[in-house]
Amino acid sequence: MPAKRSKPQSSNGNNKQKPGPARKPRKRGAATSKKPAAKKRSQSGRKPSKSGVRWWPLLWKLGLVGLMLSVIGVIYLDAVITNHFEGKRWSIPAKVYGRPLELYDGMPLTEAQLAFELSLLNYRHVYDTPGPGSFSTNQREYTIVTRGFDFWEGAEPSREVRINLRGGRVSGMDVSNQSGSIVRLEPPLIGGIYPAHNEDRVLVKLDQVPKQLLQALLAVEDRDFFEHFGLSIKGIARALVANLASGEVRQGGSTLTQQLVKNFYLSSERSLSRKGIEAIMAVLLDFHYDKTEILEAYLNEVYLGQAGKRAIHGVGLGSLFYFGVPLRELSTEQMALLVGVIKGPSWYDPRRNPQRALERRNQVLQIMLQQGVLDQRSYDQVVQQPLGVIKKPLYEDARYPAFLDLMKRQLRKDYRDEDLRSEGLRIFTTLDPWAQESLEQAAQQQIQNLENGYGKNLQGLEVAGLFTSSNTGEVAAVIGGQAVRYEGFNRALDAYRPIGSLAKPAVYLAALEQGYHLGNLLQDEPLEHVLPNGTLWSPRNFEKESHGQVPMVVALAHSYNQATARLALDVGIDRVVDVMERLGLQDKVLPQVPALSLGAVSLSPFEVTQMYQTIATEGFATPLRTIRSVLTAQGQPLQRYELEVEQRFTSADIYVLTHAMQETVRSGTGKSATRWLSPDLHLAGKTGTSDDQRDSWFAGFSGNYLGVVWMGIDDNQPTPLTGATGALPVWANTMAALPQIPLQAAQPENIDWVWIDPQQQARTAAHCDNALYLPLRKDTVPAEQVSCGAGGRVLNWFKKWIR
Amino acid sequence: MYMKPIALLFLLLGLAACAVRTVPTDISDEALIESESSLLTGVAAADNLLQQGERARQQGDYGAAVNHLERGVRMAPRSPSLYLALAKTRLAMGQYRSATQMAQRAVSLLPAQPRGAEQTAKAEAWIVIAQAREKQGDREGAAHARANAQAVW
Repeated sequence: MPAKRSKPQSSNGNNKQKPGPARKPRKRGAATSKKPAAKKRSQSGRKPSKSGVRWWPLLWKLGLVGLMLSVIGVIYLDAVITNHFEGKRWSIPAKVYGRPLELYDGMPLTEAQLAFELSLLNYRHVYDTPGPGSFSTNQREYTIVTRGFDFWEGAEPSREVRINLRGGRVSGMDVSNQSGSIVRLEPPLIGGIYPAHNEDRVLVKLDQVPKQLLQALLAVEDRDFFEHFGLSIKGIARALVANLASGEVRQGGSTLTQQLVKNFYLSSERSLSRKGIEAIMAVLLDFHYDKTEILEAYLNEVYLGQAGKRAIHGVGLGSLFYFGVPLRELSTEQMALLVGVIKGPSWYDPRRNPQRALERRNQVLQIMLQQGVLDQRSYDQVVQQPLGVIKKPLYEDARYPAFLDLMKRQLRKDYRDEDLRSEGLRIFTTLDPWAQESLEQAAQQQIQNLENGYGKNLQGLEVAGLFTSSNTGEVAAVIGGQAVRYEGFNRALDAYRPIGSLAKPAVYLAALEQGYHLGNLLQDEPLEHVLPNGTLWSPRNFEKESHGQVPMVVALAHSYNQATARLALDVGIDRVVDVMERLGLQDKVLPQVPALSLGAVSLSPFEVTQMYQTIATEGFATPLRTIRSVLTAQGQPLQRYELEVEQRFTSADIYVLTHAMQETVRSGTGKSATRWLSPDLHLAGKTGTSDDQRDSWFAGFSGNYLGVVWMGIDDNQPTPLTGATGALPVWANTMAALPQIPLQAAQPENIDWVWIDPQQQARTAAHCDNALYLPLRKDTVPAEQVSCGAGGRVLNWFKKWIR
Repeated sequence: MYMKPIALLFLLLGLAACAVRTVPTDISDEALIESESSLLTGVAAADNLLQQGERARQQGDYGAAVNHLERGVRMAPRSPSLYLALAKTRLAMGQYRSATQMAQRAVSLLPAQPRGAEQTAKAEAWIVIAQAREKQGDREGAAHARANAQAVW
C-alpha cells in the first residue's frame, strides 16, 4: 500500500532532480539524497490541512504515517535497485564448446565432413562473394569466410580462406590478409551449465548490437526512450488512445525501463500495486543510471523464447537461438522478427507459429518504415523475405549428453558448481563433432541391423563407446546408449560389465615383460585348476575346440581361452593384476583370481579405454581428457589442461604386444574389420565376449584414433553376439568415417625382427614353411638357428591361422 | 671424464652436414632450452606451430609455448620434435618429471637408427632427460641418459 501511494510523490521528486547534472550513476549515495525531497513534500503537504476541521489531527497523523511509510518504501526500493544493478546482474551459465576445426594445407578432410562442420556452425551457402559466416563452392574449391573468435591465445579475426579438397585432403590453401598457414573456424557451442532458474544468455555490449536493431527496438517498444524519465506520459497516452480506439488492450504504455524493472526485480503478478512499484523503480533506475546502461541491460535481460527447460534471454543468445548467427550477421528482417518476438515469445514463436510470427515481423517492419528506420525501397525488399529462422536451435543442450556428463565430472574436480552456473566461464573441450556424429551413426545403424536380423530374439540391445585421439588421450566422442540424445544412464561411464577377452593383452604383456616372446608355444588344451577355496576353474575355448601347441601370437590373435589361462597361471596372476593397474586401473580393486586373465572383472567402457590408451600411446599412460582450457567470461585465460604422459611399459614390450594385436585384425578374431578398413592401416585391436555372450566388446586403434565399443543388454541377458559381430562393426564404421593415420610405431632399439620356427624354438630362414616373422625383444631371441625341416617333417599346422 | 666426448663432439661438429646438428652432451640448460629443432614434423602447419612454440619458449612465455606445441601435436601426433620441444619447455619450467617423460616420449617416436636431424633430436631428448634427472638428484640416471645421448652417433 505505501508503495502505491508514494507513486506520484517520487516521480515528482525525481522530476525536480532530473535536470540536475547528476545523470551518471550515483550509486549508494542516491538513497540518502532522496530524503530532502521527501521532506519538502511533507512540508507542502501540511498546508491544505490548515483549513481547520475537527478531524484535522487524525488526518495529519495518518498522512504523516503514510508519508513516512512511502519514504521508507522508496528508500528500500532504491536500495534494491542499486544493489542489483551494481552487483552481478546475471548468473551467466558456463558455455561449453567443442573443438574448433583447424584448416591447414595437407590436413585430412573429406567433403562430407566439411559439409557437416559448416552446417553445424550454420554457415550459409552463397553464390556470390561470401561474408563472415558463409561460404561458396566451385566444384571442389571452397571459399569460406570465418566469423572470428576469441581463443585462448587471443582473438582470431574473421578470415577468408580458399581450400581445395582432393583425395580426402586439403590440397592447396589460400588465406587472405594474413600470414600463417592455419585457419580456425569458431568452435561449436555444444552446451551449458545452467543456474537453477535455467536462464541462459550470451552477454553483449551495446556497441556489439547492430544500430538497426536498436532503432527497430526503440521504434516498436519505446520511442521516447532517450527523452523520458523512466515513464513516458506520451507513451501511456498513445497506448490509451490506441486501446480506446480498438476497444481492447493492444498496446502497453510501458517504457523499456519499466519492462526491465519488471523482469529484473518483480514477480509476474499483475496488480495495480505492482504497477506502481514498477513505475517508482523505473524512475529511480532512470535517475541513477545512464540511458545506454539501461538499454544494454534491457538487451541482455529480455526474454525471447524457451528451449525445453532453458529460458532464452537477451538478444545475443536470441540471435543464435533463432537464426544460428551472431548478432552482427543479422539481416534487417531477422532483426525485425527478433524485436517482434519480444511482445510474446510463445505466441509469436516463429518455429511453432510461423504465420503469426511473419505477420508480427511485418508489423514491426511497418513501424520501422513509419519511424524512418527503413526507407520505402528497403522495406519493399525485406518484407518479401522469408522468416530466416533455422529449423533447430544452433545448439541443443541435449545433443551430446554422454560427453557433457564426462566433461562435467572432470570439471567438477576443479571448479565449484556455483561458479560453473554463474560466472559465464567458457569451457573449451575436446569433443570432435564429426567423430561424435560418425560414432552415433555407426552405433544406431548397427543396432538397427541387429534388431532387423534377430527380430524378437534380440531386444533391448544397448551400446556405449568412446573414441579418443590415440596419441594424446583427448576424448573425441562418447555415446552412453543407443538413444544418443538421452540424458540419463551413461553406460560409457557407469555400466560396469565383464570385459571378456579384452583382458588378454594384459596377460600377454605381463608374459612379454617376463621374457616370453610371441613365438613361444602355448598349450591350448583343457585345464583344471583348483583354486585356494577348493573350487575348480576349468575354462574352455569359445568354440569348445582345442588347438594343441600354438605360438603366443596365434593364441592372442584367435583369442584362445585355454592357452591364455595356462599362460596367466605360468606368469602369475599378481603380475597380470600389476600390468592391468599400470595400464590405467590403478584406482580399481582387481580380483586376484585366475579368471581375471579371461576378463572376469567388470569395467566401464571408460576404464577399458583408459587401459587401451596406454597401449596405443606405446606404453605411456595418458589421462583421458575432455577439457583443453577454461576462459573467463571476459576471455581471460583461467586454466589449461595440459598433455601429460608417464611411461609405464617399455616401448619394446608394447611394440611386440601391438604386433600381436595387429595380427588379431589382420588374421584373427578382428578380421572382419577389413570389410570396412584398409589393411594398409595396420590397425591393432581386440575382441571381447563375456560368458554366455552377455557382452560384446571391441577395442582397437590406428595411428591417430583409439576406440572402445561395448554392446549388451542392461539386465545382463545373453545375446547372440560376439565381440566381432556386435561391437566391431560399430568401431570399424566409425573408424572408416574418420581420417586415419596408419599404425606404424617406430621400431625400438632393442627389437629384432626375426624368422622363428616355433616348433624348434629357434631362428630359421625366411623361406621355410613353418617360419613366423616376428618382432622379438633382443634378449628373448633364441640363440639356436635351424634350417628348414630340421625337426624332420615340415610343420605347417599353423599356416591356416597365419595367412 | 667429459674430455673424450667433447673431443668426439668437435670431430662430429666438423663432419656435420647441414641437417645434422650435433649436440654437446654437457650443454647448459639455457643453451638446450634456447636450441631449436631441426627435425620437421612432416606437416607444414605443425612446423609453423613448432616454430612459434620454440620462439615463445625462448622468450620465456612457457604457457604459450606449451599451447602452440600441443596444437601442433594434434596436427602431427607422431612427431618427435613436438614432444622434444615440449620436453625442453618443461625443463625450462622446472617441471623435471614431466620433462623426462616428454623426452622419453620423443625417443619412443624416433627410429632405433636415427638419421640426420633425427640424430640431433634423439641426442637432445636424452640430454633433456640427463639434465632433468640431475636436477632431481639422480646422478646415476643422468649419466646413463648422457651415455645414451652419446650413443646416438
